[in-house]
Amino acid sequence: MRLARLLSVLSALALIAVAAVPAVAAPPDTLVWDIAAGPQYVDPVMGTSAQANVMVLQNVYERLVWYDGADTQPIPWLASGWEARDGGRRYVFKLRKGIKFHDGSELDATAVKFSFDRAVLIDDPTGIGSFFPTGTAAPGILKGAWEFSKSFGVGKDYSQAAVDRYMAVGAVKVIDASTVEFNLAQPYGAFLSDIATFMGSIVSPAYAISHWTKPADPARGFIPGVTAGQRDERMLYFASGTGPYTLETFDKATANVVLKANPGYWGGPTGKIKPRLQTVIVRATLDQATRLLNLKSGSVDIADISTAAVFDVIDKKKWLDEGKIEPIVPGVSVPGPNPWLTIYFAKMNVKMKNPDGSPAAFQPFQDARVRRAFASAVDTADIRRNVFNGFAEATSWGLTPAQFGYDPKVKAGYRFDLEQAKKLLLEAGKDLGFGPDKPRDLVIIYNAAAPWQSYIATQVASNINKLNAGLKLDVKALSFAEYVNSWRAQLTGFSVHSTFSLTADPNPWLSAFGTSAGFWARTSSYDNPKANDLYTKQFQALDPRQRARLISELMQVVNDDVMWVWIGAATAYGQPTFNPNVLRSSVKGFYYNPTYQGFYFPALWKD
Amino acid sequence: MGAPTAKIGAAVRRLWQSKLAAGALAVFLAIALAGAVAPLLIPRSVVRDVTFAAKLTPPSGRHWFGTDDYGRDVFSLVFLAAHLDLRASLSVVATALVIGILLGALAGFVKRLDEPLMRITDVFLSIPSLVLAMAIASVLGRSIENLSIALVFVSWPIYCRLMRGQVLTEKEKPYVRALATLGVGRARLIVRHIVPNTLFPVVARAPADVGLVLITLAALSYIGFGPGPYVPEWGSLVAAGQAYIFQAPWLVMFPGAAIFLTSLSLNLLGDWARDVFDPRLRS
Amino acid sequence: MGVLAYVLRRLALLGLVLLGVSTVVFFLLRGMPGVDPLAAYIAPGLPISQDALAALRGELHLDDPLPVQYIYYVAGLVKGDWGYSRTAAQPVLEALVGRLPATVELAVCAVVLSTALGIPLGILAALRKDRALDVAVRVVSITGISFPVFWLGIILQLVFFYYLGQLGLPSLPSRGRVEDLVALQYPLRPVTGFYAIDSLVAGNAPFFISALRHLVLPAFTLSLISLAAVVRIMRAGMLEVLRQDYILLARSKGLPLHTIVVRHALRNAITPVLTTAGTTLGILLGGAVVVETVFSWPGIGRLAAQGILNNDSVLVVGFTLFVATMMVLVNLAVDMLYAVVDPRVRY
Repeated sequence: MRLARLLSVLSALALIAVAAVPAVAAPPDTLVWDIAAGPQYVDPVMGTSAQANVMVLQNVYERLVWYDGADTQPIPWLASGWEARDGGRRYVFKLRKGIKFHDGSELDATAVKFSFDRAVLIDDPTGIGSFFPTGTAAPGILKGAWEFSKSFGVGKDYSQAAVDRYMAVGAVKVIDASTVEFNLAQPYGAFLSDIATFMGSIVSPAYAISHWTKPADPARGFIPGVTAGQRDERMLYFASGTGPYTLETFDKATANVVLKANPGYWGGPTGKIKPRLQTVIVRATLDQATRLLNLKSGSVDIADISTAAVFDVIDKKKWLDEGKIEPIVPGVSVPGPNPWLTIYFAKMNVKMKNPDGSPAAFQPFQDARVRRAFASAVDTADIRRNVFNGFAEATSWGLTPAQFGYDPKVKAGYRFDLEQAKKLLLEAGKDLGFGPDKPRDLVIIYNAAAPWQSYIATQVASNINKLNAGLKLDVKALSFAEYVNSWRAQLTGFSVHSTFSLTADPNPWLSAFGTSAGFWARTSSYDNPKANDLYTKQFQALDPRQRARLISELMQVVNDDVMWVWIGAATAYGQPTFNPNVLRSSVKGFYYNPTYQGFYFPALWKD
Repeated sequence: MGAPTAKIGAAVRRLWQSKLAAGALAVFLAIALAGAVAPLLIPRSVVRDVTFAAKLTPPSGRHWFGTDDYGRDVFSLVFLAAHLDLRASLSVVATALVIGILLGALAGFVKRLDEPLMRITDVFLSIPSLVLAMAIASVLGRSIENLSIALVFVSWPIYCRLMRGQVLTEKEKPYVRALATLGVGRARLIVRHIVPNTLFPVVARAPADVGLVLITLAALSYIGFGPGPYVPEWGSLVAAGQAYIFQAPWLVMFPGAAIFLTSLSLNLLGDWARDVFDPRLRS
Repeated sequence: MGVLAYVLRRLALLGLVLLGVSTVVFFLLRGMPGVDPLAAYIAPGLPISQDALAALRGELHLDDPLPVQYIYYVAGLVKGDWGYSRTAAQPVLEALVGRLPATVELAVCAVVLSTALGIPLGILAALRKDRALDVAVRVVSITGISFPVFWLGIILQLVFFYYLGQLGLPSLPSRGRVEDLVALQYPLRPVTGFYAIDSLVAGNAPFFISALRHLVLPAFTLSLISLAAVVRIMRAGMLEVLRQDYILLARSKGLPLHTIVVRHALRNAITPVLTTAGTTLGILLGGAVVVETVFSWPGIGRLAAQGILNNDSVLVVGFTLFVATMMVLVNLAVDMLYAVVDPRVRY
C-alpha cells in the first residue's frame, strides 16, 4: 500500500536524521569526566565512601598543610608554619594572611577553629566524629573529642551542657587572628598527615552561619553555625572554601558536579598556582560501556574504566605476561600502575554468633589449624592475576607496600598449599568433631553487588570442598545491607572484604586489623594484648624509625595469629580513589601523588 | 460429539501434515530431553568450580558456548538451566490448568458460585500478569519456588474463564438435553460427556501458555528474582552476562537464544493446537 | 437508557474490581501467613529501636483485627497515603506519580509505533492472504511473541549502541532519557514531564533531539510486544470484514481495493484493536518493567524493579495497585468511547 510504504520511508529517514546527530565535544578550557558514581555530599565532616566526594573536597577546600606536587612530605599550605610542643601534645599553626573564602570572607584563626569544632560537634555516624578515633587504645585525637562523641558506645548526649563541656576543654584555641593552637588527647605522630586529608578542610564560618538556623528543639546544643549531632543540610550540597575551584553546581538528582575556576584564588604557597581549566564537569555515568565509548569518541576527557574492563583499553597479553601498559585505544593514555589505598582480604571470625546473639555451637575458626587451613586454600596469586586482572600486588600485611611502616620481611602465617590445608583440617576435625565420614556444613557469604567477592568465595569453597576433609562449604550471596549485618553481628565465620583508607598513614589499618577494638578485629573477636600494646606504643612514637620498628613487630604478632588472609593490595592507573581512570592524551600535567584523594585540577590542562 | 480418541487421532494426522508444527514439536522435545538428562550427565561441580584462567573465553572446540566470568562452561550452564526452566514452566501451567479447570467447571455447573468466581477472576485479570507475579513473589521472597507459586496465581484465571464458558455452551447443546431426557444421571453426564468435550479447547491453550510462563519466569529472574549464580536459570544467566556483554556477548546470546527457541516452538505448537482443538479460532 | 446510566453502571463495576484488587494487595501486605508485615518497612541490617518499632505498629494498626486494618488501609489509599518507600525515599504515591510521565511517554511511543507498523502490516497480510507476504508477516509476528523482551532490548543495545559506536558510526544511546551533558548545558524546566513535548514547546532543540534519540531503542523494544498482537488482530479483523456482503458489493461496483479498505473496511476492522486497548496497556505496563530495567529508563517500572531488589514490598505492592487503577481507568475511557460511538453497547 502506498500509504504504508510512505510511512515506512518517512520513519526510516527520521531515524537516520535522529541517529546522525554528532556527539557533543567539550571546548579546550573545559574538562569533562565521566565518573562511575557521583558525589553524595560535599561536606568535609562526612566520612565518605565516594570518590567524587573527596575529589570535590580536594579542589574546593584547602587544609593547613598539604603537599607540593608529587612530594609526600606535608608542607605549610594555609598555614605559614607550625610548631610541635609538649612532646607532640600541642601544635601551634601560624596562618597566612590575605586569603579569602569563595563567599568573600577572610581566612583567620576563628575559621580554623570553627572547621574543627564542627567536625567534632556534628558527630556524624558516617564521619569523623571524634576526629579519627582509632580504638580504645588511642581514643580520638583532639582533646575532649572522644568524650563528646563516645563513638563506639551508646547514649549520645547532644545537650548544650555537653557542647559547652567540649568547648571548654579548648581542643582548638584561637591565640590571635592568625595563630591557632591544637591540643591533642595524647601524642600522635600522624597528626600532620591526618589534617592534610580532606578531614582537615577549612570551611567558611560566615557562609555556614548565614545558612544556619537555630535548632527547634530546646534541649539540643549548638554553637553559632553548628547544631550538635545534626547534619548541616546546606553544607551537604553547597561549599565555600579557599580552594582553586568553586562548586558551581551540584545536582543531587543526577549527581553531576560543575566546578569553576576561582578568579580570586590566592595562588598556593608559591603564589603561582592558577587553574588553566576554567570549567570542570564531572558527570555520573553509570554504564561502563557508555563511559568507554565516550572516551573513544572524544566526548569526554577522563573516564572511569574498572579493572574488570581494563582489557578494553590496554593490551591483555602485554600486561599480564610482561607487566607493560599499552593502550589499544588511540588517543588515550593510561598512567600507572599506581599503588592505591585499598586492601583485599578475607576475615575469619573466632566467635560466631546465632541471630539471637548467643554464641554458635560450632566454632571451627577458634582452632588456629582451621584458620591456617582456610588461609592455605586461597590461591591469592590466581586471584590477583585473574580476578583483579593483574591490578593487585602481593602484600605481607594489611597495608599497601607504598605506605609508611610496610615491611616486606614480615612473614605470613600460611602459604597456598592444598595438601597442607587438608592435613590441617583432618587433624583439627578430630578434635572439633568433623571428618570425611561426618561432614559439617559451613556458609561463606559475600556481597551480591560485588562480583569479585563472589569469585573469591567460590574459589575458596570449591577448593575446601574438593579436599573432602569434613567441611562442606556453601556460598551465599547477600544484599549489601544483609552482608554488612552478617559480619557485624558476627553471624558468619569466613567472609571476603575490601577496605579503603582515607589517609595514607598506616594507623587506621593497624588499628582495624590489630587491636581488639579495631573496626575489623572487633567483629572477629580478635584480642591479642601484645598487639594492643604495640599499637599504642607506635601511635605515640614521634621518631619515624622507632615507629617503623614497632609497626613491624605488631604486624608479625598479628600474622602469627592467622586471623586474616591478605589477598592483595590494589594497584590501578590514573588517580583512583575508588575507580581507576583513563585520560585522553590531550589531558596534560597529570602526576601521581599517593596522598591525593582524586584529581587535583589546577595541575591539569588540555592541549 | 465424537469420541476423544478419534479427535486425538485426527490431531496426530494433522500434525504430520503440518511440517511447521511437527518441526516445532521436534525442537521442543529435543530441548526438553536435553534438559531432562542434563543434571544426570553434567556434574554439579561445573556450577561451583572456578577456573579464572579460562574466564570469558569465546566459543571454541573445548567450550562450545564459551566460558563465563567464573570460567564455567556456558554450554553446561544453559542445559542445566533448561532443566530448571522447563520443569518450572510445565509445572506452573499444569497446576494452573488443574485449578482453573476445576474452578471453571464448578462455576459452570453451580450457578451460585458462578458470579463470585467470575468477579474474582476479573480482579486477577485486571492486573498485568508480570506485575501481579512481581508483587506476590516480592512478598514471598526471592526463589524459583515462590516465582512458580506467583505464576500459578497469575495463570489460573484464564483457564477458569475458558472452562466456564465451554461448560456453559456445552450444557445447552441438544445432545446433552437429549441424554438428560433419556434419564442419564447428572454426574454421568458431566463426567462421561460434557467434560471430555470441553477440555480440549482449554488444554489447547496450554502449550502457548508454557511459552508465555517461560518468558515471564525468565523476565522476572532477569530483573532480580533470580536464584543466584549457583542455580543456572536462563533469565539470570542473561542478567549476569549483561555486565560483560561488550567483552563477551556469548554469555547473553546463548541463554537468550535458548529461551527464544523454546518459546517459539511452544508458540507454534500452541497455534497448531488451537487450530485443531478450538474450531472457533480457526480463521 | 442514557449514556450516563451506562457510565455509572460501568463505574460501579470497575469500582468493585478496584476494591477487589485492593483486597488482594492488602492481603499480600498484611495477611500472608509466615510473613512479618513489618519486614517491608525495615531496612535489613540496620538497627531500629523498640520505640520506633512500636510506633510503626501503631501507625499501621497492626494490633487490630485484619478487617479493621483493611478499613484503615483503604481509607488511607483514598486519602492518598499509599505508604512510604525506602527505595525512593518518598511516599509511594508521590514516587510513582513523579515517574509516571517517563513511563507514559515510553508507552505512548510504543503504542504509536506498534499501531503505525501493525495496522498496515495486518491489512497487507489480510489482502495477500496465504501468499508470501502473509506468511512472512505471520512468521514475524509469532517470532515477536516468542522473543524475550529483555533479550531483544539487550541485542538492540549491543548492535545500535555498541557495535555502531565501535565502528565510529552514528549510534543510538542505550541509557536514560537524555544526554547528561545536554541536560547540563541546555537545561529544561519540565512542565508536563514529557521531555519531547516540553522541549518542543520551550524551543530547546538540543534537548528535544537528545530526548528523541533516547526514546528510539526502548520504545521500539516495547512496541514489539504489542506489535505481534496488533498484526494478528488486525489481520483477523480485516479478513472477517472482507468477507462481508457490502464489501463484495463495493468490489463488484468496481471500486479500487485501497479505497474499499480505507473507506469501508478499516473502520470496522479497527474496533477489535481498540477493544483490546485495555489488555494491551496491561501488557505494555508489564513489559515496561523489563524494558525500563534494560535501558535504565527512570519510569515507574524501573522503580518497581529496584524495589524488588531492595525487598521494598510496600513499593512493589503500591505499584501493582497503581497499574491496576490505571488499567481500570483506561478500560473505562475506552468503554465510554464505545458508548458514545456505538449505541448497541449500552444494553
